[in-house]
Amino acid sequence: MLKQLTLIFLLIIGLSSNATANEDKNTDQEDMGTITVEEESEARTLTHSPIPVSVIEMEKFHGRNISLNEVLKRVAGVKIRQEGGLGSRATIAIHGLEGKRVKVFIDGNPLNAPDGTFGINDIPIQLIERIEVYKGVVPARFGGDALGGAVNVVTRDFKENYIDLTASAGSYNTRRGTFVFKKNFDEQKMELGVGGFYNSADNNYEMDSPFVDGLKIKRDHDRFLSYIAAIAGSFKERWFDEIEFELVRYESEKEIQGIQTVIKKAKTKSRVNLLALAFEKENFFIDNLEFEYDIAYIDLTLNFIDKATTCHNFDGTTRPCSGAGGEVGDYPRDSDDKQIDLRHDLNLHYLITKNYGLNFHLNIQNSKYRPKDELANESLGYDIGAFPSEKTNTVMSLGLESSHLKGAIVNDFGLKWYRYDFEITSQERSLTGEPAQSQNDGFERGWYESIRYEALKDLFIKASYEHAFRLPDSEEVFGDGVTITSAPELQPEEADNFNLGVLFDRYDFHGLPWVKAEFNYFYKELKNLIKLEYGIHTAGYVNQGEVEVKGFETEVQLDINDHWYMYANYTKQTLKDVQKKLPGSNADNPTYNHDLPNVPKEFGNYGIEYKMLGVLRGDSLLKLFWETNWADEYFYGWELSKHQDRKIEAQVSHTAGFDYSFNQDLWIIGFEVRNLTDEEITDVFNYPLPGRTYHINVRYSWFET
Amino acid sequence: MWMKLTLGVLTLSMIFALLGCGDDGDSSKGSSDTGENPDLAVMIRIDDTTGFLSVLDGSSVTELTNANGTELYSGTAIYGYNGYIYTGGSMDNDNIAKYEVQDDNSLKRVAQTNVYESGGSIPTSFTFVNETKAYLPLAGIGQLIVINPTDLSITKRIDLSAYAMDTNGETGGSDTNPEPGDGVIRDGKFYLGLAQIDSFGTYACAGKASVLIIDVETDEILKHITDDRTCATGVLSPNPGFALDENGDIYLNNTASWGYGAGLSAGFLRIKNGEDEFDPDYFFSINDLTLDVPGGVSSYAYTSLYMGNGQLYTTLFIPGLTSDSPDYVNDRNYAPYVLDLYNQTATKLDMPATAGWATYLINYNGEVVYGMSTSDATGLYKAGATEPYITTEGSPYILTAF
Repeated sequence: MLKQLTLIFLLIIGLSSNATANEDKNTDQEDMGTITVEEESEARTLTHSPIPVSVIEMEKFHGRNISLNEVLKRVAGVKIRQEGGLGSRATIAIHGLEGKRVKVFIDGNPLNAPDGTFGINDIPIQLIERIEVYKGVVPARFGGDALGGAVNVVTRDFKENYIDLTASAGSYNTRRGTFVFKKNFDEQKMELGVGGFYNSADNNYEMDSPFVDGLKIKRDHDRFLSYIAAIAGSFKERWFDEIEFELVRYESEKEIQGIQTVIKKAKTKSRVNLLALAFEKENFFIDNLEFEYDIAYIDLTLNFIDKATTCHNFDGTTRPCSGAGGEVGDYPRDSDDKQIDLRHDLNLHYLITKNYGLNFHLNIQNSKYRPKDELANESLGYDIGAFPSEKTNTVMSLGLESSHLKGAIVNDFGLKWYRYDFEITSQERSLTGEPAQSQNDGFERGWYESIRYEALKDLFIKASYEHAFRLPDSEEVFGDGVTITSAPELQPEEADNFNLGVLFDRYDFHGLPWVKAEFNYFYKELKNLIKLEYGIHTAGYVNQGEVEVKGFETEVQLDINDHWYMYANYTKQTLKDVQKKLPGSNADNPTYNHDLPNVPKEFGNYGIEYKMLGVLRGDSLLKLFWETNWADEYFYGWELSKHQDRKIEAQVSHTAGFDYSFNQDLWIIGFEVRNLTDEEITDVFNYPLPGRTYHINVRYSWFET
Repeated sequence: MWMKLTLGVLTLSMIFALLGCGDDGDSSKGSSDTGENPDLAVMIRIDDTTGFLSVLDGSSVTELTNANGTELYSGTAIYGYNGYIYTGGSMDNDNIAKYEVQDDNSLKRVAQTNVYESGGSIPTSFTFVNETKAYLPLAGIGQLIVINPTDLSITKRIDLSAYAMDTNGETGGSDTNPEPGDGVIRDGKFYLGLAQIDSFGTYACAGKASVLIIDVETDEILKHITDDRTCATGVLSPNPGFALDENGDIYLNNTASWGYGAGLSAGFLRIKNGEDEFDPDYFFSINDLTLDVPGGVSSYAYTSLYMGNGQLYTTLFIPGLTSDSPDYVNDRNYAPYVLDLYNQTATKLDMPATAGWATYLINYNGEVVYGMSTSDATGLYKAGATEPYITTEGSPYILTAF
């Protein structure tokens, strides 16, 4: 139940650079806001690198009340699967791989559970500089165990004395707010800042029951609340070029909404305390060697509270809950689970010559998990907390970056080593028996090669390959002590990822201020996929399945003139089961060579934006926008019969709105309507999303020039 | 379609589509030869979300595909009665339905009822009284409902909460659900097994076997009998946990928490003909059997079928064939056996072991037929056979003749 949290906690006040969030270099932007016209931005440099990556610069969204997931779902090859409103479970899928197979990083630090307690969707976009979506090779400097895709959220770097305040409101009582105060102490060569955000939503929209014809369900137990507060500082020009510290407190509370049954009381709560230190030094003992080291201590507490003894029916009547109580499970819960994480992240970059660079990365994560639930113990008759566990994951990488032919060819080659070490308390067949300790460790080697060739000016050809692994996480290995058994024999998932792409990215092209067009073909082979398999009475994670992924995505972005910008993208993908025999059997696999169910096969987006200066005031900028998101229908189950109707229907949704900035961007006001035509939209089978919603945003940002 | 066209126009390089996905080659759809006279229905489990219900002529077909199957939740229970197939809900939903076989051997749903709007009722075990009456226990909420099989209307709800026992084996405590499972009708009385488990989280049962005796004419609860030699009466799944022999004696399977309970043995109790009490002189302990399997013991008998002369065909759960922790994909840990209820012996059938979600067996034209997922094949096996006589695409979860 407990998901592993992490260094989400962003350098919320964004004091300085880190492994990936380098300062934007020499970026001059036009007044209209979105076009970088002179020297290359960090985002554009990354886009032109050998690896397949989409980069979304978030500046253009800072006036909007929009969530990070809303931004991500505009990206070619990316689907967001969300069960409800703000705070609901959401997974990110890149080229059909979703959930734990997509690694999420905050400023290069791995967030282990994108579908866990803390979602990146919590992070207000006003605190984000850009989002990097890696669609095949995950660069060595991240050090994570991504199987075939990753999202890196790069938080903003507030360089000057700075105040940034944002307040947002939306349908279903959705409220969001952020604050950042930053002060430089030049004489002391020190910076200090405080910041935080607040999210809350009732999410109380109405939906049709997927189980009972004609039954309307009011989602009246789906409230979400979270906040974060952080203080951070940095000291410069000591022996280290920079030393940073960060203290963070995060809390969240999420009610659990029933769909099949009524849930009135059950909820989860989480609390996180984080202490992080970071050290940076250029010319670390020798010239041209850059040193970066982060260490983080994370103390996470998770409560799952499900103590009701009176259960409710949809008709308003009540009944005693089954057994000793509980609305969600079959026994009451009042957990006080704790997890302690200690993380080390070391990056060394050595510039051998002007054209060769060597990068070494070491990431070590140690987690100790101590579940505790006395109420459940009493109900079940044994201590479910008697299954403590510890794991250490180590990912090490060594990469060689080089450029040739005056930069026309850029190559990136890397090796990765993965080591895992689990200490597991294995359940015996009789749950009341004495648990036995067991251990599982292993070692895997991966590698990647990516190359980019600038065949003509601004026309790039990219090719890349990665042999990647994903290590089993705590939930998969340890189970939950009750109905999900531990899985000491679980092996890492394995993937071979191949990408081939063409990119054209040019300013001033036949009268158009900017044109960017991209096509990418992708092919993946996946083995040892980890899946939760159900037995007669319990379940457990197993390695099962081989899958082949192939498809393509294509995207165009262009500035038509100083006023109009538009984009469109389209993705087609298939994921096939290529396991010929049933696991543990010589029997033919009935789903061999069939498309994996519950995976969108075709989807796309387009949008258009109009910008106008001097509306109402001479110092104002008005932006009007329209965005459309489309996905074709797909089956929920394996498509084996001609008599199947369980499917996620094709859907189209539109968003329209404006944002208006004035007084030299000191103020921005935004308004938008999502799902403008009030369509029935579903990302996850049986979990319809809200219909039409309205959102408003006000932002004040001041900085000392 | 317009959206697709729009995107197609707006985006570049559609020519590259040729490099993209290959021909989908929809091989899933097509004709399936399911025979001239369908008399057998099979619920196939593909995985935990996908299942298919198909009918076939069990005498002539040798290979069953899902091409003509009706998609249902994979854990759906099926019952054949009077030419129709009835489906019970699973852990996933609370709907029961009635299907009629069409000329092309596809199925048409002719009735459906949601038995409990608020969910979690687990309506899985039908006991048909006649064409207009059937019992359907709701194991998830401690009710017994009476339905009319004609239109699946609910004619009566019987609250069983008063018979729920706590872990001490006493009624009247905090537990309000006795977990009614399956039952059998004898001499105008319905003998309904109550599993009396603590929760579906542990499956640990209260310390007594438990049976309700109900007047079939009036639906009045006549008696609640208990026995402290074992617990978890009935199987709490679509498997028949009761056997009625030629003498009119009832043999009740008790799983004693499916191996999770400490202290009590799984096994069979008896209610003799003409009596409404457990026979104090009869208990056939499964745990005490010495078997020719790895580990030499079984934890409980799972599925069962009485074939006369004291012979009960079953699958026994074999801990010695189970990984630690259980491997739900690779373990084949249920072994076909014949139990002699009279002499309390067990004879191993010369058949491979099967996975837990493919253990069902039926009497098909006088022969015992198992639905199995073995280390070599998935399909329907005749008792004693090492190979299936009908292969299936996926694991046969439940079978029924109709």
